Order: sequence, then C-alpha cells, then structure tokens
Amino acid sequence: MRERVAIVFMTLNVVATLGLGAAIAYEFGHLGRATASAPATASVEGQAYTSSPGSSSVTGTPSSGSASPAQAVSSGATLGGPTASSANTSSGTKTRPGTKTRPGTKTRPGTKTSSGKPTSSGAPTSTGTTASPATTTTQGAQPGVSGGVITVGGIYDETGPVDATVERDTVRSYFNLVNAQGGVNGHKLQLIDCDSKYDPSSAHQCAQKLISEGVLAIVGWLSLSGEQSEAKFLTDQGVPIIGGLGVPAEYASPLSYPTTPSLVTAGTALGTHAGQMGLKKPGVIFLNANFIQPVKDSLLAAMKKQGITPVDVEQVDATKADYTDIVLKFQANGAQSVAAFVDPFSYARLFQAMARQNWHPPVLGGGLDKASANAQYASGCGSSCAVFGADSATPVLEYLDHQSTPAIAQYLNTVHTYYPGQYGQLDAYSTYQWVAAQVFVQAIKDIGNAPVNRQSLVSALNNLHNYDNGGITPPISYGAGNHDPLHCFQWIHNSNGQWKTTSGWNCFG
Amino acid sequence: MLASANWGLLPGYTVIGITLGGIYALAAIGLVLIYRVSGVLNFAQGAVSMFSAFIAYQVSIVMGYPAVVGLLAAIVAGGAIGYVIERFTIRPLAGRSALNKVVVTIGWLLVLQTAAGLIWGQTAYHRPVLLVSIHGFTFPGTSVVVGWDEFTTIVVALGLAFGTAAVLRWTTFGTSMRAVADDPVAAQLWGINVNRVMAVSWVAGSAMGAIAGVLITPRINFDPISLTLVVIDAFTAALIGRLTSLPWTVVGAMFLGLAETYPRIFSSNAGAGHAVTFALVLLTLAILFRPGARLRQRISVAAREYAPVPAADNVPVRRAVVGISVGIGIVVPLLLSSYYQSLAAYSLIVGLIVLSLVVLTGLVGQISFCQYSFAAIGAFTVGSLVGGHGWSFWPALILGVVFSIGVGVLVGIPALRLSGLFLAILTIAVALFFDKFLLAPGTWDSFSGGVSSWTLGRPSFLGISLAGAYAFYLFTLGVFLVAVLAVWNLSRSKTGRMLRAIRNSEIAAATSGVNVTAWKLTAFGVSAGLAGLAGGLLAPAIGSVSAGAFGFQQSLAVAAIAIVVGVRSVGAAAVGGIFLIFGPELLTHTPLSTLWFPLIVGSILIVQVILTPQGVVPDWQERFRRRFPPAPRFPDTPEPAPAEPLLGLAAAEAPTMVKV
Repeated sequence: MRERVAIVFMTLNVVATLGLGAAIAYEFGHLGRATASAPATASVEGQAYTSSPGSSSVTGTPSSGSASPAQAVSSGATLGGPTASSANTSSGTKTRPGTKTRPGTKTRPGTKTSSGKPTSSGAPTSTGTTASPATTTTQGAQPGVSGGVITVGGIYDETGPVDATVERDTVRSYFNLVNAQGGVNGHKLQLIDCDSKYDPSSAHQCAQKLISEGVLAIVGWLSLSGEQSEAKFLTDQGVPIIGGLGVPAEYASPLSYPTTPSLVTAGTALGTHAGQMGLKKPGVIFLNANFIQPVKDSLLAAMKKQGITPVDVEQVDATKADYTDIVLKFQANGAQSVAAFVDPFSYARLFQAMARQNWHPPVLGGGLDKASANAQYASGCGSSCAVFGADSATPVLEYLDHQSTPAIAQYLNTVHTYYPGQYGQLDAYSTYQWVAAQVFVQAIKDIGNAPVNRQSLVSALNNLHNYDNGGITPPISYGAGNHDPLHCFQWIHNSNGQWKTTSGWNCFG
Repeated sequence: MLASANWGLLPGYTVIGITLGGIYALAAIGLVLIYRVSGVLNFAQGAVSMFSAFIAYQVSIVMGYPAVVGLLAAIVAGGAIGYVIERFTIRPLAGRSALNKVVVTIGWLLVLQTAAGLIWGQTAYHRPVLLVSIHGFTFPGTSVVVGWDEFTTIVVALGLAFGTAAVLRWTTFGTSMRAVADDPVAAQLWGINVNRVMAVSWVAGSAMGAIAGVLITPRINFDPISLTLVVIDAFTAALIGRLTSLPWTVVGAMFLGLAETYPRIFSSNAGAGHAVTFALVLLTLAILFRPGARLRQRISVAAREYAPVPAADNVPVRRAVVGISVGIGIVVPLLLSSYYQSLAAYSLIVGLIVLSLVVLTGLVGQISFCQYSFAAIGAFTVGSLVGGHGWSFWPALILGVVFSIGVGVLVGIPALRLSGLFLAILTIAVALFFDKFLLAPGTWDSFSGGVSSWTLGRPSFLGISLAGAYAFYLFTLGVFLVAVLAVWNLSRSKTGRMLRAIRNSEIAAATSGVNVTAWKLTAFGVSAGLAGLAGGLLAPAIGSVSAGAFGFQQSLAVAAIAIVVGVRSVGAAAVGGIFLIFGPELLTHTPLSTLWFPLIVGSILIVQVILTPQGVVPDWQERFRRRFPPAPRFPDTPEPAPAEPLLGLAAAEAPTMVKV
C-alpha cells in the first residue's frame, strides 16, 4: 500500500514538474526570439549635445586647495602601473571647472564657498527631510556612536567576479588619515564592512547585519548587484547613505547622498560623447546587472539623438570568460566600433578577444581607467591593444592624469600609505568613495559639538552647499528631498596606454 | 529561435568550440590518469591546476621571471601538491570506499581554493601568464583568428593524451600502472611497488594539471574558482572516455566544446550551452555506464557500504538530552540580538538541508551534491509567487515543496542506474545545470528573478506575525523539530529498514520483495522535499531570494559539512546548520576573516574522513552510549555491533558480497 501511495504521489509530482519544464521551455524559446540582436529604440530624455568632436578641449584642474580635514600632502608618489603617467596635467588651455565649453552643454556653477555652510545662493537649506531617520532608531540611543567612536558601515563585493575591496580600503584610508590627525570633533571613525559576494541576497543580509550593528550611516559602498535594492531598504530603515556606484535607487530617497552622477546620466554622457567621437555602427555591450536597463536606455537614446544606430546590443554577465563569440557577432553584423558599459575585468577579456581576432575598431567605454586593469588591457597584445586609442568619460578628475593636483595627490598618497597593496587597484569608482568619505567627515565636522546621530547627520548633509573637495568633482550641494548633485563628466582618451583628459566638465541635466 | 540564427557564424563558432574543447581536454587528462591508476576521481584536480597557475603568476607576473620559469615552478608545485595529497591523505585510506577518497579530494578542493584566495585574492583581477602570444593565424575557410596560445593548448592536450597513452601501453612502468589499475593486490604479488606507482600517477597527473592551469588561465577568469569549475566540466569529457581512455577523452572534450558553443549561435543565453552539456552528461552516464558495465562493477566492489541498524539508546537519557537541547534552543536566542536570532533561524533552515542529506545519504547511501538546487526550487517558487505575483506565503510554500519533490524524483530516475562516483557526477551536473542555465539571468527570469532578487516579507502563522526575529526563529525551530522527528521515525520504521536494506544491497533487498525503484525515488523525493522546504523558508528568513545563494559551491559546502558532522544521525542536522552559519560569523570576531571558513571546513573534512569517518555527531553519540549504556531488555542479548563508517568499510572487514 505504501509503495502504491508513493508511486501515485511521485507520478503526480513528475507530471507537475514536467509542466514546469514546459514553462521553462516556453520562456526560453520566447526569450530566444526576443533577444535577437535588434538595437534598442527605447527613448528617454537625453541631453542634447551637438558640438562637433575634436574641438578644443579643456581640462578642469582646479587650483584651489582641498577642503578636507587634512591639508598636508606628502609628495613623491606616482603610480607604478604601466599606464601611470608622470605627474603631469594634460596640456592645453586650462579653465576652471564649469566653464561653458560647448553649445548646448549645461554647466555647473564653479563658485567655491565655504564647505558645509548654508549660503544664500538660493539652494535649499531646509533641514527637514521627508523620511525621518530617528523614527526607526531606538529611543535615546545613538546608533553608531559609542565611546568617542563613530561607526559607519559599508557593503562591498569582496569576493566573486567583481572586486570592490579597493573601495572599502579607500574609505578606511581616509578614516585612518582623519583619525591620525585627532579625529573629527573628538570622534574617531570606524568602518564595518560586509561582503555582498556579487549577490543580491547576500547584500540584503549585509544590510540587515549593519542595521543590527547600529551603524550611523552607510559610507562609500559598492555592491554591484545589491545597491539597487538595498539603497531602498536601508533608507526605508532610516539609515543614511553617502556615496555609492550611482544606481537609480540612490537618487530616489531623501536619505541617500550620492557623490557621483547617476549611471543614467553617465549613459547619456557616453552616448553624447559617441556622437562627438564620430562613432559609427557600434556594437554595444552592457553588463547584465539589475540597474542596467535605465542606463542602457539612456545610452541608446543619447546615441540615437546623435544619429548613431548600434548594429548589435549584447548584455553580458560579469563572469563571462571569453568574448570571442561576441566579437565574431559584431564583425558579422558589420560593427565598425565598440561601445561598452561593463566592469573593468570584463573589459580586459573583451579587449583580449578583440586583440586575438586582430580587430581594432574605435572603443568607447565607461570606467576604463583602472591602473591594474589597464595592465591587463595591454597584456600580450603588443602595440595593437584595443585599449590604445580608447575613449571614456569620467565624473571625477582622472587620477592617472592629475597626480600633482593636491586633492588627487592626497588621495593617492593616503591610500598608498595605509593600503599600499590597493594602490594599483584605484579607479574612478574608488574615487567616488573617497569623495563620499570626505563628504561624511565634512558633515560630522559641521555637526560641531551637537550630539552625533542620524538626525544631526542628515541635517548637516542637507545643509552642505557647494562643498569643494579640491576639484575632484564640481562642488556638491544637497538639500531637502531627493538628491542628484552632480551631472558633469570629463572626456578622457587613452594614448598608448596613458589616459589623458581631453575636456573640461561637460554637464548633463 | 532557429530561424533567427545567424548560420554564417557556424564556421567561426566551430573554431571556438574546438579551442574550448582543447581546454577541456587539457583539464581532463590529469584527471583520467589519476583515476585510471588509483581509482580516485580527483575533485581537487582543478584546484591543483588553479593553485599551480597562481604559483606561475607569483613567479612570472609578481616576481618578474620569464613565463617559462613560471611554468616550471607551477609544474613542480603541482607535482608536490599531488604527492602530498596521495601520500598523506589518500594512502591512509587504502581499502576504504572510493567515495571516502572522493570526499578527501573535496576537502583538498576547499583548502586549495581558499588558500589561493587568501594569498592572491578571491577576485579575477589577475594577469595570466602568457607562455605563447595570443596573436595567431586565420583559420582556413573562416574569418576566425586562432591565437597561438589556443593552438598550443590543443597541441599540448593532444600530445599529453597520446603521449601518456603510449607510455601506459608500451613502457614497463606504464604496464605497472595498468596492472595497479586493474588489481592492486595482484600487482603487489607480482612485485610491483603499488605505493610508488600510485604516487607517480598522482605526481604526473597533478603536474599535467599544472600545465593545464597555466595554459588555460588566459582563456578563463583567473580566479580561485573558475578553473575548478572548468575541470568539473571536463568530467563530462572524461566520462565520454569512460574515465580510462585518454584519446577518447580528447574526442569527448572536442565534442563537448562544440556542444557548448553551437547553441550560442541562436541564443544570447550563455547558459544554453550548459544545458546541452547537462544532456550530454545524462546521455553518457546512461549509455556508457549502464548496469553491468565492466567499470561500474569494479567501482561497486570498492564502494560496498553497509548501514547498521540504529543502536539502542538509553531512552530516558536520550529524552533528557533532547529536552534540554530544545529548552536551550528556545531560551538562549532570547538573550541574543535580533541579528543573531535571525542567524539562529538560518542555521535551522540550513539544518533542514543537512537533514535532507541524512535521508538520502545516511539512509539510502545515495550521495548528492545538488541539495541547494532542490532548495532553489522551493525558494524561487515562494519568491516568484509571493514577491512577483502577490500570492500568500503558505500555498506558495506548499507548491514549492511539491515542485522540489517532483524535481527530486526526476533527478532520481537516472540515478536509479548509478551509484557512488557516477551518482556524484550526475548530481554535480544537475547543480551546474541549475547554476549556469536554469537560474542564470535570461533563461527563466519570471522564476529566478533574473539579475534582480525577489523580495518578500515574513508571513503570519495562525494569526501570529512572524515578522519579529524571535517569532520567526521559534517558527523555524518548530518546523525543524517536526522534520527531525519525522526523519527519526522514518529511520526506525519499516520504511527505514527497507531503505537501509537497499543501501546495504539492492539485490538482496529486491529479492526480499522491496520495490527498490519506488523506494529510491521516494528517498530522492523526500530529500528534495526537505531541501525545498528549507529553500521556501529561507526566502522569508532573508527577505530576498537570488540565484547566488543556491549555487554549486553551497551544495558542496553543505555536503562537506554533513559528512563532517555525520550524515547518519538526525542530530547532525542541527549541529551542521549551526556550524555552517555561526562558523563564519565566529570568525569575524577573530583575527581571521570569514574567508578562512572553507579552509577550516576542508581541513576538518580531510582529517575527519581519515580518523573518524562516521562523523562527529555519531562519534559523540557512540561515546555517549558507552557512558550511559541502555538497560538490556534481555540479559543474554549481546552488545550491538559498533557503528561502521558512513562511506564504506575496510576491505578486510567487509563481507564478501558484491553488487552486480
């Protein structure tokens, strides 16, 4: 009898599960038809940028000093990677950031004001927020502040295909620097990190852990597959976030304080720059990530405005090992250039496949300027590496090209001092988090002798106006409501392995 | 789908497939050599290759020596690691089942993988050692350029395969190797130094793995994990060569490379190729390793396993221990923070997955490395229905468990023909099929969530909200206790005796009237159902469901933990869950990081299989029984026989019963 029951039960199960299999087959087949390489035509509001490529470019190299707590900048450090330039700024006419350089380009005010102090420039200075961080904290307790130590948290992809340990150590470096100089208003700073493993669920567990550990805020995080969902979760729980990668969710909460333009804006910038470069018939590659769709839409829409139609659009996982198949597809579809928005290591494999196939079209990509990755890009390809001649856009000063700029020199020297092993891993993304740490410290300074808690932190951040981080980015201002403080990019070009800045700040939105 | 394919890509993709086949061939050759001589399927082969490749990286990229010096260093390191594995961890297991040795190699896999991660970093930001230029020549008839490094990979694979085959066939030492492979005892009687031959095969196989590692890394992600997985893919090629024929392994590798590449002509989904690989594994296992095949007989003889009838307990003492443990389980978490209460709930949920292995491995003797895939069915059914379609949690959970049972039975059907190593390979193929295809973004996003995760809250139970950490913990504790009680009852019931009878001897069980097919499938179904239940509970426990939490690595880890704690005891489930969840957490409060955890688990696994193969908890229970012996029902009843090792007996002790 038992056997009969078991057999009947299992048969029913098998039938049900075969039904599931049919659903998979249907979806997979449906997907196969849907993902035929048709260029996307989705449109979003891209920013017109109609100037011709090759016009006189300017480099924004601010002469002002850093507004960070540490003014002392040691000298002598240059990057040891093969693409590190000697401490030169790029040649050409230098202008202040924010100079209107091209018709149609919106610029940001470059006026320097005292950091963190409310001004009468018309920017909102209200300290009110729509989500009160105090509502979710224990009454009377001050999360993240204990015994003269301020504890903040960070979620990073520390294992897996993406390495964000450099972002973690960049924040720690800055905190070490501040602590070595006596801390902020008598407080020492501490960062608790958690490994999100390039996995959304792990990122969520990290967020839960950091909340339970009572961190004051999240500062300078980078979790590629976790930020989009956890930015909302953390801010819903009343935890302020400063910095991040720039995923859309970070621009949708009054408790999130980005220190970089949105990736959506980055898509627009790259698409616009593609027009300036005269990119023709590009094959486009995106990282397969949960925030990528609006970025993809903005890039393709901006390209469309420039009259560029991609011949193929591919989405790749960060773990994709060999890009030869994609290179062959691009070649078969008649691609004459490549535009990409992937992580640094994926670029390395893409470039290697291009070198292997002896295919050297113009390349435009976001986030290409990583010293260690550049060594990989130029590995084994002799003088015909795909990265040579590539173009990119960066929302922070190109650190490889501005090593003598005091703010960049301080950044490089500090990381070199505290985490020498990470020095070669620095890139634009770590620079974002350096700025995030600076913004956080400035906010704590602005709190003064008042109690440090989430509410006072949020208040200080909302009052931050035209914060000047030494020109690493244009001045940063927050206020009440959601924040989207930065919209500007500089164009950079790789000349035989050396990244050179070729423009001033080009602003969008 | 086929109509939209660009068939003009066919020649180019053929070349890509062949070069990919070259990689698999190179990865599989050392594996086959070691298996052929020593009978051990070396799961650590990829890890040895990876570690050796990192040695080359250290010498050539970090220290700046020429690439050839790096290669030589890698070969020396690979050979040395192979010798250490064989001499100190495989040789002491002489006479134990093949599965025991496989478990040791899994321990080495974890140790080497973690050690490499700790030394050189976990991520893929490593420059490979380029022995040969990546520039190459245009393959005739196509526009595809074959890099010299790819060409070298294929040539070296062919050279090693045919060279090794020639050595085995035409040299005296090769003859000795074949003699040892056929019958070590007879070979010893003929004066062959069996230990030396075994050691040489491990050293040579590992050195070949080192060469493979250095040559392959420019084509894959150079990190501690990717090469390990490439070698697991190479199992398929080795299977086509029946794990013994090197030339056929190369042919199988080429076939596999093409089978994985062609689907990408008409599908952007990178996992499509892996679906074909999975089908290939099933087909190969079904055709080549059918019952009665010569090789399978040999393995079965080596892998006899006998499950004892559970020994009698001192019932009052047992009840007291269980009662105190449950009391501690209820009270202690009250003193913890909500985060640790959540961890306690996770540990019980993972304990359910360990419990699922108690049913499958402990009772029926069927090994499985895909328990997290079954858990994924439960988790994603709950995640997609609750998070995506607004279902209530409870019907979604029930459906998730039912689907898990169904998938378990489906996996069980091909497993009916297999046991031991080949069942292990099948379950690995299932796990990788889930990882790389079913749950990969782009295949079935309305189920897996694609690159996003499903988010959901915690439900209410009988009107009581489980949103609080302690409430949810108590709920999971209740579920866990019910499941443990059910499995404990099962193990002591008539059904349990039938399952153990199947484990001891399928023939004998069938002769006694046991429907072996139905009960094996039932065991798979129950085991998968328990894992699916765990997955379904994991979804609201974390509040987020994504594919990364249900990968092959997790299945490997939970199997390793289950073996460490002792898969024959239901008590091991709780210990295993606690160890797996609180172990890494404990490390965060020490100078070590969580990254050390797999290394610790791997080390314990190796030592434990050598010293106490029955597992930690049964060992405790045995000591406990001796300390508190049961009152004899009948004064003349002899003492129960001591428990035998989980994964096999010493050959000398084993009854002379042979599976056919």
